[in-house]
Amino acid sequence: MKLPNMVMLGMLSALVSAATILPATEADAQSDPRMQLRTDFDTIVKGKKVAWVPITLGNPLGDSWTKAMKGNFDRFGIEFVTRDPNFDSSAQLQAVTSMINEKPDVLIVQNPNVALLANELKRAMDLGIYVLQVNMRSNQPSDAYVGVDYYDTGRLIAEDIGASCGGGKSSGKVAIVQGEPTAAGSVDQLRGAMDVFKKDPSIKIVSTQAANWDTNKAYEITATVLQQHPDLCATYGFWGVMQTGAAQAVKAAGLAGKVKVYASSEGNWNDCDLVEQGLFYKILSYRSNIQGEQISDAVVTLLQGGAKPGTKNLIYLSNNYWVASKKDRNYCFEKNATTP
Amino acid sequence: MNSVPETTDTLPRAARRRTALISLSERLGRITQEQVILLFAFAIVVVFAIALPGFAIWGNFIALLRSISILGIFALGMAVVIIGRGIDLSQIAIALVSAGTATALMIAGVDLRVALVAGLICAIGLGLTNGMLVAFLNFPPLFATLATALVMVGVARSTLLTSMFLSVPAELSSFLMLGQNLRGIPIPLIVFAVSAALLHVFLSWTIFGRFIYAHGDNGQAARLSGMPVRLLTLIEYSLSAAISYVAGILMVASTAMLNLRVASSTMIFDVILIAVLGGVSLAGGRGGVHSVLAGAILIGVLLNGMTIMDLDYQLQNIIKGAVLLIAIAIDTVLHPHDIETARQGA
Repeated sequence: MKLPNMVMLGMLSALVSAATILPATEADAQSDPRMQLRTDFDTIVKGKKVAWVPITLGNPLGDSWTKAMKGNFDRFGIEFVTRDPNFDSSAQLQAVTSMINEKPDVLIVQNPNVALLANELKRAMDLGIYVLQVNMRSNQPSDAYVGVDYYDTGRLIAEDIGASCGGGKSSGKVAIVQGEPTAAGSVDQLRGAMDVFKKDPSIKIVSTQAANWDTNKAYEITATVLQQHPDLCATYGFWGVMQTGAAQAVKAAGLAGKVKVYASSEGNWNDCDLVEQGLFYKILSYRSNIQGEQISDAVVTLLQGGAKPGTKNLIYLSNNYWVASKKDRNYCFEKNATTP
Repeated sequence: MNSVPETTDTLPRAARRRTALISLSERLGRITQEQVILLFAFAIVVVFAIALPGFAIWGNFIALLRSISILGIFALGMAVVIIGRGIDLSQIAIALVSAGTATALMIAGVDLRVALVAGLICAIGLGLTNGMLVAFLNFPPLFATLATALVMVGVARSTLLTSMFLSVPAELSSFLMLGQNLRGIPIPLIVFAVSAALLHVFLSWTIFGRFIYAHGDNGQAARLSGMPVRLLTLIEYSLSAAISYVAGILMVASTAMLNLRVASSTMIFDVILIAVLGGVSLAGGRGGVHSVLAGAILIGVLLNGMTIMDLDYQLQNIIKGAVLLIAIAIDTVLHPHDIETARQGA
């Protein structure tokens, strides 16, 4: 064969193969269900708008949720807007109202108490916005709840306290440090714990003071309680950050290691540090950064489900991990899970 | 002629009652509000000591004083400003921002002493800002310090202290020592006692201290007598800020955590409660360190007793509110309302 012929042949075969391959690719995209799945997903979720109003940012809990959500929503091409009410409930109500007026597709809120946002959440669903609640439930049910079952948390921690303090093993004296006494997270933990303690006559609850999520107040209350009851067996605080104060009061009283300091925790690194230093005896961690993933999953579920807002009440429960020593470190998240 | 007996007859009942109150206060002689409050606290102590097992023991006495020492230090600073007929609502904000600055520097590896001095400079700077707003721009202290508190925390949150909680690592043990005990006595209590003594010396025995009373009693007269009233205002607010910083440092060291949320709590009202309860009158120029101590002891006894009794949160608030009302009532009897002295912040 001569060279020009070979070139001709090559060009011809290239043409033929191009003619056969090109239509085949187009046909594949239409018939390959695996490719179609992602295309459909993108069609539904891309360009959707998700609004998020937590109680506050600038703490491990709010920041770890936000970071996980933002990572997922950026990846899916979802527009993600956040407002930080900075622990101010009237600012939070205003933020939720203005967010609803911006007509997002999904509204995510963390309720400061059971009543504050109830009417606005109902209004949002009436306007066709999916409403997702995080960690603290409102009296108004909505499309989805992602979070802790605080009754369970209270029950689990109380059972563990019963096992280590009850049955005559110790004085059986237990102090409870509540959060804000009207917050769902505090009310439910108290109920869960008391239901267990009531059944155990060897446990004596010597104090159930509210420290309003404040580290300093937890310190002062615990210092006074320890003075009255140096033989205290355990103190149980409804939030790790707050209970840090109780742990320091136990240390200042020279009772570190003798009084068992329990806390429920989102699993931030500092709470794990305190366990490793022996200042916390045990914490029950729910790993809020994993909750952030659960929230993202719930959002895409709602968007793809196509149900009318306000017709479903999905629930995604969080985990409960005991952290008692250095080997449980993986049940806490590190600082980098909160920094954007 | 006819009208004279008529007016005496129709003398408003309120005015008659007031006359009665004044004569009552005269009959009580020269009893001061501090003495009434201390007496009241003592009565409660006696009741608690009889009714509450575990109240009247040395350890609980120390715990009681320990629990009130940080609030008490704040109240010392507040007293200085109120005596000068001002008010400083930004105290807690200043404490958190300046102690937060020191803590952040320490965590970043700066030497303990350098970090503590940097925090103090920050606090005095913030106090001077308040003082200048009040002294030179004539802002009413209530609004000036309310606004600066918001600005301070806002600026700190968006720059140095991006997280609302800053935990102090255990390696900074020499700093955390400040929240512990020294030979069984809590260091915050020692600091409270020393600050109270120093402030008492300053207010009672130095010229500037006496000037602050004059400034608060009658600012116009003080100015006409040649006192540097603007300088006095600057001193009052920066002294309050510096004292708040000390309280802030103790707060962080005790709990091994800086909690910026406290800035938006009602703590500032507890501070004012302690100062006013003891007799630092909001009218200015009245009260002193002994008033703060009396107020602190009463509130300390109450909080301690209520915690021992494990009273619930709402009931505690009711009792605290009732005590404040009683204190105001006592104040009204001892210092009858008077337009001349009621102008706060003038």
